[in-house]
Amino acid sequence: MLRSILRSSAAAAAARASSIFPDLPSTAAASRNYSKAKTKTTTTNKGKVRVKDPRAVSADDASARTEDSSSVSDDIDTEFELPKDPLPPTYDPALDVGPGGRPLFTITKSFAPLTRKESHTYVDISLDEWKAMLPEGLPSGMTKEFEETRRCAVMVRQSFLDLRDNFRRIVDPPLRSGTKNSKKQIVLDGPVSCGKSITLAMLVHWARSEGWLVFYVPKGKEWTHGGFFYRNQHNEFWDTPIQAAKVLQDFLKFNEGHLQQLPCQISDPVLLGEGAGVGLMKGADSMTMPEGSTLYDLIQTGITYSHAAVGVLVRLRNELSLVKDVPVLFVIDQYNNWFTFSEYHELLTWRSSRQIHARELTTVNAYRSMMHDDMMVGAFSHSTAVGKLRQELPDVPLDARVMLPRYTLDEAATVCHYYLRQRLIRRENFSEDKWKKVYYVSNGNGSEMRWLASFI
Amino acid sequence: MSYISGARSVPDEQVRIASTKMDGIGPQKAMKFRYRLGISGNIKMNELTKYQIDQIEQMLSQDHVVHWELKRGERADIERLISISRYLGIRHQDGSPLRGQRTHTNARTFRKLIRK
Repeated sequence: MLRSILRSSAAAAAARASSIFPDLPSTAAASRNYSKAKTKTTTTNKGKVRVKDPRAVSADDASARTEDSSSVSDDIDTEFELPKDPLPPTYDPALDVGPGGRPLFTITKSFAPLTRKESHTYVDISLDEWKAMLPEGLPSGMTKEFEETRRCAVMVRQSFLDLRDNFRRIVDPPLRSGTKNSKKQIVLDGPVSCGKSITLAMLVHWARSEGWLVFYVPKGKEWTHGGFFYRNQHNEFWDTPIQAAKVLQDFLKFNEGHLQQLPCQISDPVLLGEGAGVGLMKGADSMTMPEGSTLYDLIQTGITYSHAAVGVLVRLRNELSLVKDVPVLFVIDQYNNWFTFSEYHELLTWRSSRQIHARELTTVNAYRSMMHDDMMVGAFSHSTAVGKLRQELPDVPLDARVMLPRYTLDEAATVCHYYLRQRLIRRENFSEDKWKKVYYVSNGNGSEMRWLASFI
Repeated sequence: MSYISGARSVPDEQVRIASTKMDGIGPQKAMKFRYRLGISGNIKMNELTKYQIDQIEQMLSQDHVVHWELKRGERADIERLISISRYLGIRHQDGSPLRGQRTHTNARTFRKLIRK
């Protein structure tokens, strides 16, 4: 029952998103004729089934298609074959074959109905839809994959399904087992290019399509690098107002509908700090939210007043932990950056300075801890040169660490067949021996496999 | 193009590099200024507000000698040496090296710089 309520609110949010992005088709209405083009049949008088040729199109459809091609995202080459609605004449669905003759692609609107049968297949989601669902930004590994393969498709892996089902069991616990085997706080660790960031992005996509309130940070490093940093007047922490304002803006982009309905439950005044390049506010060191304010009003205050940005972001963390109407999920990528030193330094004397640790930043201190009862996922990143961290991290439960594996042989087979489909590998050179060589040489490293595929 | 304490700064340059273009400010001092004002390494000059530029100018005027004041001080030191007819002052006037280098050969760079 809870799921049906959440889906209806998700549909309302999607309708609102379509009004915000009027050029994009809404997720509900984005049902492609892809499956119809593949399996459309007509019966003759004799009862025989005749498969309709998807490439047999009329002149009117061809002209409409040329107009549609201009609306495809700039990042992907529009001349390349892409499964659009309707299918272009050059697209041959017969080539969408995976290892062992299984279908390479799964037709679905979201990641919710996927089961283990659909693992090791690819799901096509347009770049516009990705950007609409993840307006905070896509991980860099994901954009690289999309650019090099010229298609916005992601592979459904068993590890993603396990992660999704883990959080699904928490929100909607089954009758028999309950939440016994579920973890509310997870730290995704693993070797380089094993798919941590992409798994997080898919999780965010799934959670938002289910109607959850998701606080997504695609680049945790940005909280500890860049912008201005000032000593907080009320405690020993350091404020970063530019990052705080940006985080509030990003959070508001997708979750506006939810936030307008959720009231503020904490009535304490919001502490003010130094604004970005404007100094302290004269005559006031705190700001009180009017009675009956919603979380939307709170965030708008933080965006409007630079002095209040950090205070509002910290207040938002406490408010989100009190929200019970909607499941709340915190998703942090590059989480390991919050356990090392930041870019900032404190000047002790004119000749000596001290590097500020990430835990001393007000915003990081508010969001880093996993010692609470909220759902939270953090993913480590090898792209930010943090180095090795100790096994027992502060403020992280001991059993929270989950090692995400690299590609298995089956997953590598699917990946290589996908690269073959996207012409990264020449068809005449492709063989089982060669893709297995690529897999064993790269040891299941995704980006290395993509690089080695061109040498087949 | 903006000016800080009379020194021109390129808007698209990062603060940590643009501030070294001022006479009297090197990489170390530029770093200390940034730490004192809370400016990170990737902030550019055109992202600074007027309040921050005023803060920089105030800091420069309080404890540091930069730009035309530094040059004036150097010139005053040289003229003092000339006025009291010190060996160094005479060498400054002649345009010859003054730290014991040979002049029978070489010393071209020093003579070229003085000529300029």
